[in-house]
Amino acid sequence: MSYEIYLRKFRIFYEEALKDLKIGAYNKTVSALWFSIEALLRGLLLKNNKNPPERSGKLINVATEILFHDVKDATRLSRLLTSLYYRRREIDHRKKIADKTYAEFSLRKYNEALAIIMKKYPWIKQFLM
Amino acid sequence: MQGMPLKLIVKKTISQMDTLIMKLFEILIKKLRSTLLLVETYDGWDGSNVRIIVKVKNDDIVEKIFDAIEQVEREFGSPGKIIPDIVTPDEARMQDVDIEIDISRMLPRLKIILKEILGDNLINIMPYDGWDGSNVRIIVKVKNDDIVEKIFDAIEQVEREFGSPGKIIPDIVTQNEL
Repeated sequence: MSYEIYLRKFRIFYEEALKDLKIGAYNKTVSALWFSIEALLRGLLLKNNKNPPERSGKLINVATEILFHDVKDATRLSRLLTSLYYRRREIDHRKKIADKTYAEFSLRKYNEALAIIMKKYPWIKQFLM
Repeated sequence: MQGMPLKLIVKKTISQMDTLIMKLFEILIKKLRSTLLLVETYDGWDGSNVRIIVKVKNDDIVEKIFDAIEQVEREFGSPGKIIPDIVTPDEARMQDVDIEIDISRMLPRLKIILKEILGDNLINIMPYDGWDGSNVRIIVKVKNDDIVEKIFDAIEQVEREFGSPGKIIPDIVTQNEL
């Protein structure tokens, strides 16, 4: 399977998250930010010839171990990934309703996670252009 | 045609679901021909109960599958019984990735830290096999953004101490979310 498709999805979800934030669709922002990260992790695993798991929790486990074990801030990154996923689950499956603060906080976490990931994989920047 | 193109395995007891699936297969093979690769009962993490693997997936094929499901459910008077997961072989491989993460050594430490941070607000912490891959259930009396951040602080601290990032995937719930 082509990793490029997932990296395209990574960008598309990111752009949609920003649009959603702009129009006040805060729940969708939180979901789209996680889906963007999820697509990025899948794309990176595929590029490394690894089969990404479908379940999000397992995806975080595998991605951290395979892609980021040698990253200086791996533990911080792990926290950001699990936190972004947790927030998405609260919004999509539980009673939580996101407001602007919640969505913006998710975006900050997303940006921080992306900055750590880009230190190791700077070439993914091209997929955001 | 080479090899064995079809194998039907009969379990000890044929359930109503098996009967539905046999009928579904009969319809799908006519509609999709060689695009259809597999129809099987399935215990999906999201509650899907039939996995249909197709060579190619597009809107037309997916609609044909849903038409077939509607037809079967109508014929058997069983609406809402078939929850399909329609996947390509690539996607099926992702579903079949099975990994075991051992966090048993980390949990007692996490429990100590959470008890210190949350006090009586912490009701329980236990290993968990969540549908989404979460592996620790943390039950609290009250849950808000501040408490959740404190829990993630604790997890980060434990993963740092053990040098094992990305292992703990929490499901943080209150008692009435159980």
